[in-house]
Amino acid sequence: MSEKLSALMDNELSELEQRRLLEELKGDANQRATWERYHVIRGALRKEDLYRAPASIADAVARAIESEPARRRSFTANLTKIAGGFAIAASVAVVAIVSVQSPFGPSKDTSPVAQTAPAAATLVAQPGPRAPAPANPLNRYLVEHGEISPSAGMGNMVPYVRTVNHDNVK
Amino acid sequence: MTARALRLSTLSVVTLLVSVPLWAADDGARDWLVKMTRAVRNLDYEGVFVYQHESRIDTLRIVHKIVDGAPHERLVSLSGTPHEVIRDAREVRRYYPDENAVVIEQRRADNQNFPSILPDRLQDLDENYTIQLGKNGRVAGRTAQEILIRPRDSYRYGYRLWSDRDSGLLLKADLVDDKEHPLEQFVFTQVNVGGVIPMSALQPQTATTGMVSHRDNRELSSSEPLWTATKLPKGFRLLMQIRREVPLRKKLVEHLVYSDGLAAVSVFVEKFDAPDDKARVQGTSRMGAVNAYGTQIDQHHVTAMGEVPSATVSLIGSSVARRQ
Repeated sequence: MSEKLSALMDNELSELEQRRLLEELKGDANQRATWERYHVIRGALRKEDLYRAPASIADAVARAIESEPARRRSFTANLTKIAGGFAIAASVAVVAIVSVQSPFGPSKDTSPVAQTAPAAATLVAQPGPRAPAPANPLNRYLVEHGEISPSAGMGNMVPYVRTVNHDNVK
Repeated sequence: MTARALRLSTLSVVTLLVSVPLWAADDGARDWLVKMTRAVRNLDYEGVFVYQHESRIDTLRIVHKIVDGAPHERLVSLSGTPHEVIRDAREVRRYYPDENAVVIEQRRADNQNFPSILPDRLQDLDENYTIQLGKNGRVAGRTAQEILIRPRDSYRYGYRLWSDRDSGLLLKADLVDDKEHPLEQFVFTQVNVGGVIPMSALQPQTATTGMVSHRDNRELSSSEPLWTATKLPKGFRLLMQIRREVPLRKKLVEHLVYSDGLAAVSVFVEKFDAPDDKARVQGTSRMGAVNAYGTQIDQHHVTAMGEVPSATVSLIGSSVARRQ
């Protein structure tokens, strides 16, 4: 019976089987309770997935940057290219994305990212591989968009607030 | 709205409908919007405000002074990473003491490029939003007038603004989604309006000795845009276009701005030449109140973004094509 319920949860039963099982459930309180429990468990599992995802993304990003000097250099070069301010914004990207996703606020795991990148921004520009980090252009664009956005916010400072006062996580 | 219009017309008040546009805004509310815009252009003020978005709260101090007719501003972060922004008519300087860096951005020579939402575009606003006066309230110890701006369709967000009854200064602003849930909020917690602000208050407090300065990317003279969005939600039109060169990379980026009078959507078009460039954002993504949509067309990256719902940036972004 449990297997059947499980199969029902997973939508793996034929229409006929479904109907038969639902009929059985009608007359069996115990089985109904099991059915409910399955839903609770599934809900919990899904939630867990949801919570786990951001953390693992953060881990992955942090690891990637920490463990790959070559990549870090290209990140740096790129940051310098896009001139500091954007660099800062770019580093935020990671933090921002993670903090958006994580229901518990920014994960601790993101801090290496946040600190590595801006520190690099003061380095002298050097020719390096192009390869912008994926989130990078978006943040550069975000700053430029902010410049023109006829925002209803606090005077014209809004764009700067949005894109600049990013790293509040300490 | 249509149903009501029909009912009204059966009551033979058609003339009324003709003489008064359906979208006529509350005149009082309009006046407040105008007053608010003038406040930013004419008033000196300084204060502390909070910016809240998602689960984050940032506290900032702002000094705003009109010098030779142009607003000069200084913004200092009070929480999180130390940071300071000085801005005048010519340039924006951002100071990052932690990184020992200052970034200097040239402002566009032509101040017109910074569209102020009001009052020149009130007509556009009316077509896309309903504007109403709300209640009286209190913000930062001051009496404030609430102004409600609600979108007429799902292609834009709404705004709840609170304007200082005395000066018109915007004291609080919420960007709200279709369920009126705030997406982001700005609110003054303390503000002084009209006091004397010395020029020194506009000087950076950050020690600048030894800071490495970075010049921002160069803007090229405007020319005819090469790209265009072929589909726009009602009320959006091309507001401006800029072409810049990203330094060192020597890449041209075309930046088109579409606006409905309040919300703005930026479209960036940039040629890609390397395979790794394909790691760019594809499809929709979200950063706070800003939605973005990325796609590729004809060896170019197209990115649309703005403080609008995802459907809006998707529609605009996916319709970008070479201009005929």
